[in-house]
Amino acid sequence: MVYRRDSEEQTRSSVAPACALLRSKGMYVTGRLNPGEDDPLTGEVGDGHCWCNKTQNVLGPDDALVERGRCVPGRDCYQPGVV
Amino acid sequence: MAEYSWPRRGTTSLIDTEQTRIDGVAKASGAAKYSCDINPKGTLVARAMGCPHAHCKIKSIDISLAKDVPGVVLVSPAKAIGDEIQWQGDIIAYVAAETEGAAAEGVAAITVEYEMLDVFVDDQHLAAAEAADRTGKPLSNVQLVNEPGDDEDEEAFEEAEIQRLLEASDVVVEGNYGINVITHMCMEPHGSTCEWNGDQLTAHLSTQNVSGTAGQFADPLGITASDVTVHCDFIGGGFGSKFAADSWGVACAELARQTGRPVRLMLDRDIELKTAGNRPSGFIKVKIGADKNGVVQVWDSQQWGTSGASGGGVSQGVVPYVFDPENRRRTATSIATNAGPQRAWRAPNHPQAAAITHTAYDDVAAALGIDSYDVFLRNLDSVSNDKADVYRAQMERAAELMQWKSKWHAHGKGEKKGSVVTGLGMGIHTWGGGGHNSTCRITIHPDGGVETALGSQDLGTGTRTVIGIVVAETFGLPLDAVNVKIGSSSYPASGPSGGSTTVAGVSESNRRAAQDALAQLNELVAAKLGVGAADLVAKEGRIQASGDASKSLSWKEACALLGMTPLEVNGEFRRGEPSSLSSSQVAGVQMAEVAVDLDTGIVKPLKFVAVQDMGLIINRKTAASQIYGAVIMGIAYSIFEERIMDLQTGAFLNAELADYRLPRLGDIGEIVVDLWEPDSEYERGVVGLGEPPVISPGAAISNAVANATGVRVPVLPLTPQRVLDALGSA
Repeated sequence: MVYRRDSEEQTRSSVAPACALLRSKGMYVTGRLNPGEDDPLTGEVGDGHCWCNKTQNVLGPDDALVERGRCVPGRDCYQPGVV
Repeated sequence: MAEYSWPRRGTTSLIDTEQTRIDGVAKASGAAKYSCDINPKGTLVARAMGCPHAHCKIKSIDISLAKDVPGVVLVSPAKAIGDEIQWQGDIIAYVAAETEGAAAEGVAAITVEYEMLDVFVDDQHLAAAEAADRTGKPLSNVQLVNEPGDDEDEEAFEEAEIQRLLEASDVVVEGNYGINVITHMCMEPHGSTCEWNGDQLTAHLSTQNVSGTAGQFADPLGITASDVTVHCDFIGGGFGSKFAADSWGVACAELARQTGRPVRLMLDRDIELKTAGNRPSGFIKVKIGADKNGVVQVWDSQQWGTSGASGGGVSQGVVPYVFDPENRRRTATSIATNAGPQRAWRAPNHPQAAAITHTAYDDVAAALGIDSYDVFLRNLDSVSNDKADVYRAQMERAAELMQWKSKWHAHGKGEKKGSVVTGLGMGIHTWGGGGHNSTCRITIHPDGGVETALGSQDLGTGTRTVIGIVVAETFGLPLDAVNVKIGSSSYPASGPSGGSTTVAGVSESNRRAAQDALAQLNELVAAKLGVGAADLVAKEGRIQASGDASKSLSWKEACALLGMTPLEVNGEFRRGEPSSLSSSQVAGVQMAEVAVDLDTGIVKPLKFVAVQDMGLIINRKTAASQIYGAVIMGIAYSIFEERIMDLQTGAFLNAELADYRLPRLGDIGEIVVDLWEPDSEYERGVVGLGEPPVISPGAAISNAVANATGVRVPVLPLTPQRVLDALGSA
């Protein structure tokens, strides 16, 4: 059996629910929520670029960066999604 | 459920042939209307003011003088006092005016006071970034054949095992490789023309995402997506950077709402390059162990790079690229810089990963003094997809077209003519290309007219023509008999053009709708002719009984059977749904031959071979065109283009077309495109092609330069200065 280990940071990513305002190319192309996530269907790698649907910018309503790992509960501008 | 299929190979009249773009004349003649060509009566021109500094805080903004400029109608700040600016070119304010000149004058009249903050833009040097506290926590990923014991410390085991494997290797190669940030350099910058009719917005947006941007305008404007129509007939390049409405798109709509007039806001080239997207950089330090045949036994790498303020860089998930040796350790560190944010750039991560890892594989060949072709071939057993056999066949084909074996010489051992040496290099790649969600509505009119409508877009790749071919082929009509309507969010929704998903997606929906529509029409024809509907075929403008041309109707006669009501049929495809019409995953092999002038450092491509699979080919001409364009784009980022930053101020020094070096025709050399298409490719259906051929040029060209000179030029683009520096330090 092959031994594999990912760093803690990687395994922790995308656990918390994402803000409903988070947007990425991948969400439109593949329908996948996590913009940094690879697509198992095709092997494509997420580009990691995200933006906020409210500001249409890489900076959110709080002027902080928009990222999958940052747009989670606890951030002032966070909006829960349906999923 | 109906069974959908393509015609058998060799029986088609349009599919798998060469067809000229149906919008070619409109585009070549200037009749095609882009977003900035939309000019409703009373349109105001808006311009954005970009921040001149890379890192600062806004202390004050005074727009009073700008408002007094004759012709200025509205000045709208985009930032507030106290806001932090994190990259040069971030937009501070907008000015809407009667003329371009007045808008420019208005921008110039805005006065802003800044509080300057520390700047960091050095993404090449990890130690400098660490010293400046600009690095994220490193991400690591380890894979080893052997496992640690139950009580063993994992990291200590990994380190010891990597060292053991390196010591056991016949050759160990250490190297540094890198590829700089480039911008998207769309010929048509980002922007839109927005107009309101009551509370209904029409946004003529330069976009890759016609069906997906209405909601992006709606939320910030406080309306719903049903109040927005996005329109884009033509787009002058996107390459992954045009999926959003963007803050300047929303600003354009807001300026139009506030002034009560249409507004056109296209980014100036300077702001476009600074803020509207770039491709992340990637730098890597590699230690690689291989056996005497060049088969890699262990890979150990530490990489870093930047995507701008958010950190980022190249995903370690594709390192090493395509090859996936059983024993590998890879660590990635992101560097936050005061530079504009990245966006997806044609095959996100893949071109950089190929350029910084296939070069290391090539250096194994150089160290062992064996043919690079053989090293790539011998490592195919470790590829991360199931395409090893495809790569083998494609390598053989590419080598034949390149005359690799007769031209090959060991690294740095070729004949020198004057100051010029030549060399060969190669790279391989992979991509998905499965179709996106797509719906369409095909209408057959009683007078024989045929149209298809869907909210897709044509990036210049020939999507319109592909759609027309699919529908016309199904109905047995000439291509010009089909009216293809795309470019409006009022049409049935279809996915954005990204990830090479469009041709498969739109081919799916249109073939399905067309087959369903033909089946309904055939029922009417069958009753009229007294034959079974299943026995009817549509070809050469007629619907006829198979094998009995005497029993037939012209297309127009057949459509007249519809009576007074057009026949409308929707087609739908959902991504991932099993289908005989499309599939995913391609391979691809590219080889470069270059000449290098050892005195000047100038690299000149002589010949470039691109062998590419893509499943069933709808249009051979536009498929080949995609590959030609990708190779040229690849040559551009390999030898010429890069974002040049001032390390002290964070200024983007070449943010103009005049300064941002791109290749001219004479810089390209010969390109040989080979559409790799055994019957098995045709049978697996359509797969997207946009991304894959742009992936390997960096690796292939860098390897060719290393083969020519015997020296690795570590960082792309391979500018004369970098080549001379590498030669000088060898």
